[in-house]
Amino acid sequence: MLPFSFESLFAFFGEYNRSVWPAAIIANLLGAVLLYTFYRKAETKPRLVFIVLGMAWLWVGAVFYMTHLAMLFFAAPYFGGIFLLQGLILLWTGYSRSEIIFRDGRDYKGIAGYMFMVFALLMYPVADGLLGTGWPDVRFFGIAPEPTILFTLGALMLIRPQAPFNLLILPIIVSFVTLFTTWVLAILQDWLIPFAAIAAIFFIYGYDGGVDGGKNSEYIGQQNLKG
Amino acid sequence: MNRRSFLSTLGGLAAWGGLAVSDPPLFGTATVRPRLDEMHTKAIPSSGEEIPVIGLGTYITFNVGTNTRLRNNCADIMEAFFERGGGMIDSSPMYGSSEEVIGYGLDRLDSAESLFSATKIWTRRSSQGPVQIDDSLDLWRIREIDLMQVHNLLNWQDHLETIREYKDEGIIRYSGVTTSHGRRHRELEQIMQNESVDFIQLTYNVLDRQAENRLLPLAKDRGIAVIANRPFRRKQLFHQFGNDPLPDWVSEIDVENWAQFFLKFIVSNPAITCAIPATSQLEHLHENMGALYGKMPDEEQRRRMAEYVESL
Ligand SMILES: NC(=O)c1ccc[n+]([C@@H]2O[C@H](COP(=O)([O-])OP(=O)(O)OC[C@H]3O[C@@H](n4cnc5c(N)ncnc54)[C@H](OP(=O)(O)O)[C@@H]3O)[C@@H](O)[C@H]2O)c1
Repeated sequence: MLPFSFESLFAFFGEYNRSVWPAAIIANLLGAVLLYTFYRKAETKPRLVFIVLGMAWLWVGAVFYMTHLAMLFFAAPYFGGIFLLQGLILLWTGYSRSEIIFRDGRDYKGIAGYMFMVFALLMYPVADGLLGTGWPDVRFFGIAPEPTILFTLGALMLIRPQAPFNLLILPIIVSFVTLFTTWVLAILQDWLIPFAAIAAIFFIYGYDGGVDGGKNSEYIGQQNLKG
Repeated sequence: MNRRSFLSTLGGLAAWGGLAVSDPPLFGTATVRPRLDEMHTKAIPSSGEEIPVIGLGTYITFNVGTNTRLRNNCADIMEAFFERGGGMIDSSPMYGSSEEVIGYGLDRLDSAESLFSATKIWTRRSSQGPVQIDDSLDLWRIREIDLMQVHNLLNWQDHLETIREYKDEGIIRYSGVTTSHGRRHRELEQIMQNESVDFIQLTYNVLDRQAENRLLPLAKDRGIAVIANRPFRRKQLFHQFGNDPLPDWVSEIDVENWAQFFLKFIVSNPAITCAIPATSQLEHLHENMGALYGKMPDEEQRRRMAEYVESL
């Protein structure tokens, strides 16, 4: 069972945001830079992306879970460990897999990826503010788990031809683990997380088409050299 | 005379199933200031010390972190709890920031003389037992803990030993073990048979009554105090029955609402010493504390209460 209530959890988000301020702004700026880069450049090299994502996961593991949420929740350090591990995996991938390319594909997969990232950056805080206990009791990309998971899934959906499976294992596991909190505390907006995980699995591994999908999208991606 | 010794002297009053009762029924609403000498108390069998039959749980409700507004709400709950005659507050290291929030509340109160502090050791590691006891003393900001329990029977052998050592030093007054949700009753029974503990804590309410078969009679026999946790099955009883009408005859036992119905059913069991409902709402606290006062159901009335709930 979860030893805290909906109200305590959202009050915690507010206290946390205050105590790590201005980390939320910096993380959101970095997220916005990534999003802009994906959009402006036909192909984005992996290093910057993996550094930002890796740092975000490390921060959530070490600061959000291990340092702050541990006060409310005895299992927080275990979640923190999973986030730290994923952070290291992302950083290592950025260092060792320079051939990975993020491509500005406008097929269903790419559009879904963009939507997840935009929601993680802009809509999550708004949804938390409206459906939770109000400002500043909201979650931000890069410093809180759910928007970070969502943004990461979205970004990984831009990898062509497809994201390495090892990058997705932990985000997908934690997406489904969050279901328990979502269900018990009835956090409406968090239903998006397991939904996004299913969408990511489907689009990355089970789908090769769409409006501009499949081979066509690879082609369009190459033609669409904007950056 | 402080509240504790005052309550002890109440032990000689007319008793029903070990329950010290008073004549003029007074059952509570928020506006009526209670007469503390009229509340129901029961004796801890191992010492004869009397404690009020309604305590306060802190699982979830007091785990509010560092938020000042929520902390102050908890402190208000504690203040009203003591004003209405409450004694036992139960917590555990498992409940996140609850112990720290209790300490914050105690610090804010002018006086909490009637506090009967009850907390737990919750760790598999034997070496962490003393660490958690010391942490609890710090977090509650008190010098002595009334009752230290082993949470969910976790490594109870070693932790009971630690608790005994602290008892010898005068830092802990009573020992206990806890379980809940009807789990591990057989192991609990063995501990009750073979170990010397002052308290056990288990789940007992109008729907969860397995303890009546063996554990409650055994507790009576062995002189062990019993704390009833999850008296409302964590709100489930209100969801299930809250919209149904109370029967007319509850006025005979000074019950004004479902909370008092559920609580009086529990604490009128002769083997139960105290129930520890948790709440984050002042209004609910006042409802719950009403069960400390007024007439208690007798055996026949308890049977009718259980039958009524089953009939719904
Ligand atoms: N193994 C163990 O040692 C163990 C296990 C379980 C519990 N416990 C102890 O026992 C305590 C009580 O159990 P619990 O907290 O699980 O459950 P509980 O006391 O049966 O129920 C608490 C819930 O009931 C609601 N409530 C309280 N008074 C009410 C009223 N008058 N009207 C309507 N709703 C009311 C509270 O909500 P509001 O906040 O809205 O009032 C809260 O959500 C715990 O807090 C803990 O200290 C120990």
